[in-house]
Amino acid sequence: MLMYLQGKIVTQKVVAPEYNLLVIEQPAIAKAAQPGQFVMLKAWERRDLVLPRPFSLYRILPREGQIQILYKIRGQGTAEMARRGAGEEVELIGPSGKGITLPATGAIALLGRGIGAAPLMAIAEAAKGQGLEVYTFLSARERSLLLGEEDFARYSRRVVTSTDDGQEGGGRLLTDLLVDIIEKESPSLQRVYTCGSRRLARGLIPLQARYGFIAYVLLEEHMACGTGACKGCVCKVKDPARPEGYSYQKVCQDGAVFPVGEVVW
Amino acid sequence: MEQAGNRPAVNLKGQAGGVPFNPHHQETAPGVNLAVEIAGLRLANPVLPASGTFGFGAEYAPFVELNRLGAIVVKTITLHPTPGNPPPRLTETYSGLLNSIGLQNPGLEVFIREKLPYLRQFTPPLIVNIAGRTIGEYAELAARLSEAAGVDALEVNISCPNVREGGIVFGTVPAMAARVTAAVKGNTPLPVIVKLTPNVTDITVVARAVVEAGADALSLINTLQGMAIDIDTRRPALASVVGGLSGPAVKPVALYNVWRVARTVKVPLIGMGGIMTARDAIEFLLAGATAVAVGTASLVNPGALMAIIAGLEDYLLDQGLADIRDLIGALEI
Ligand SMILES: Cc1cc2nc3c(=O)[nH]c(=O)nc-3n(C[C@H](O)[C@H](O)[C@H](O)COP(=O)(O)OP(=O)(O)OC[C@H]3O[C@@H](n4cnc5c(N)ncnc54)[C@H](O)[C@@H]3O)c2cc1C
Ligand SMILES: Cc1cc2nc3c(=O)[nH]c(=O)nc-3n(C[C@H](O)[C@H](O)[C@H](O)COP(=O)(O)O)c2cc1C
Ligand code: FES
Repeated sequence: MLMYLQGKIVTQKVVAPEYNLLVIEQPAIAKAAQPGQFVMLKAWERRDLVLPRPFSLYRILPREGQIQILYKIRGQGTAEMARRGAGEEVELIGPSGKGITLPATGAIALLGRGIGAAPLMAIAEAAKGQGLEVYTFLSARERSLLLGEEDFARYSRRVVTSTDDGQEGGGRLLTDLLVDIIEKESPSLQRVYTCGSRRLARGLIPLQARYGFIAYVLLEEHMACGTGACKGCVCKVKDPARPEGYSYQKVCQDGAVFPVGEVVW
Repeated sequence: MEQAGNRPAVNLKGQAGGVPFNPHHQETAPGVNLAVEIAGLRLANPVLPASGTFGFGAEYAPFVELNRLGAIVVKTITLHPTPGNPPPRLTETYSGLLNSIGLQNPGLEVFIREKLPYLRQFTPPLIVNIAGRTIGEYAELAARLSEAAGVDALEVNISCPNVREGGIVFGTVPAMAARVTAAVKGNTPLPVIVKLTPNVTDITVVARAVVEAGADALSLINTLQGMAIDIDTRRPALASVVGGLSGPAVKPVALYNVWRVARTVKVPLIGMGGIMTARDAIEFLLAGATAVAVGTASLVNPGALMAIIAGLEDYLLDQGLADIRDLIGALEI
């Protein structure tokens, strides 16, 4: 059930240039949220910024009554967020979206590009808690932009990184690094989740049949309501029942998690 | 440290609503009348959701007590399922929202089969918004919705800026607007509300034409055509290049249009465009609207409708007024 609530900032810290971690006290959302879900957040009184902005849940801490958001400062809204400090209040709508369903046993892999690592942390934590093996693959432009590496290490059997400048992983594609691990360690890989790069998500499509896993992508689209009401946040999904062969599904309500094979890229 | 707890979000000062959503808010204070009448429909208060921003009601059930609304207004329905426009469909501009949804909806049959049974359980009048690609489609929608139990009025959308066929084409040519109105009126016993576009030289000409053709009430305004460009990619912000602007940015234009139309025609008006707070709503009533619709504000604050109803009541009490109808058209010049 969606809620519209106020949350209180516990801390905000800079984790990398232009990247912040925001810890918010909001027990009801922390209790209800599932990995892969997100919130609509508004942290400003400015009238020129109308809409709340969508952010994935980086960590969900029901016992502490907290949620964490890892975000990149991009435009006006995120710049305003970065100015808020401990004790200040934010407006939240959520938890939004369907979230993910973990397999009962076996292993999962997480492939995150840049800020795409954000929603994967909550998945890693839940999977580890359920006794699943987690393989994490992170890529970014350069070392300093690899996000959450230490946190991921806590929940993962392996964390493999790659940077575009070649300093890490020889700058190789995460899908290639994933294949390496599958070939070398043959984990019983059930599910792969990816976020942050359309190219990565597409690259997983042919690997599914070859290695017997199902891959899901966490999509982003511009949003207004985050509740399924405005039909503004759609993505194109295969739909054999329609004469066009596709239909538009709402990322905020039908996603944001979609099987990579169902998305029309 | 104080617990944030489960308190409903208290709206930030000056933002949508201005009053926290309280689902246990008492019914209208004794001695204060919020009820108005539109085209024979009795509305318990003059606050409605704007079509297309409220889904089919269920989306807002977690935030809004649907039985407390003046009426329920649903997303535009077309005869056949409409897939809508390619994404991106939304972009924010200063104090505004630019959208190009393209009337995505599941079509008349699915609406009647899957959405109407849910909507029937609520007491406020149900207003179904319709759009056709041809005059014949408007007529058929009117006929079939009139037979489906539970529909109390039709809102005829001749003002959508985001579809290639029909839509705004019917709303900008007065003779066409009149023909659509007459076709709908000829096919339904229900009250007919015609929704006007501000994207014309003189909105009063279209208003007069549709009233002469039988419109029982008018709603205005639909969104203003606009665009935005990403200068880094040199591409339009919306996939369909042009969209419709809503939100606080359009309020002065909306208010002006309502005021002009109110002085031109005798039928009741539902005013909308940028209403975020009860104060905004009162401006529209003073300009001559009998009721108001709230769109973009609900997207920002899903409890906005409730907050605006409560705010109207507080305003009446503060002003020592007994009846909201005393505000309608009460602008003093
Ligand atoms: C489901 C979902 C989860 C997300 N999770 C995260 C996250 O965990 N961390 C993070 O840093 N970012 C995340 N994003 C992206 C984040 O919402 C945008 O970076 C943010 O809205 C930018 O706002 P702004 O005002 O700073 O930028 P501006 O460029 O000023 O924004 C202008 C408008 O564009 C929209 N917009 C711009 N970029 C995006 C985008 N990539 N996706 C959606 N809308 C956009 C904004 O919402 C706003 O309406 C997520 C997006 C979605 C859809
Ligand atoms: C996302 C969105 C979708 C809309 N869809 C419709 C629609 O389907 N039919 C319609 O008549 N108006 C539609 N509108 C227009 C609104 O009903 C309203 O006329 C307009 O947004 C102005 O009010 P506001 O500023 O309060 O949003 C839509 C507006 C928005 C923002
Ligand atoms: S953001 Fe409104 S339907 Fe998804």
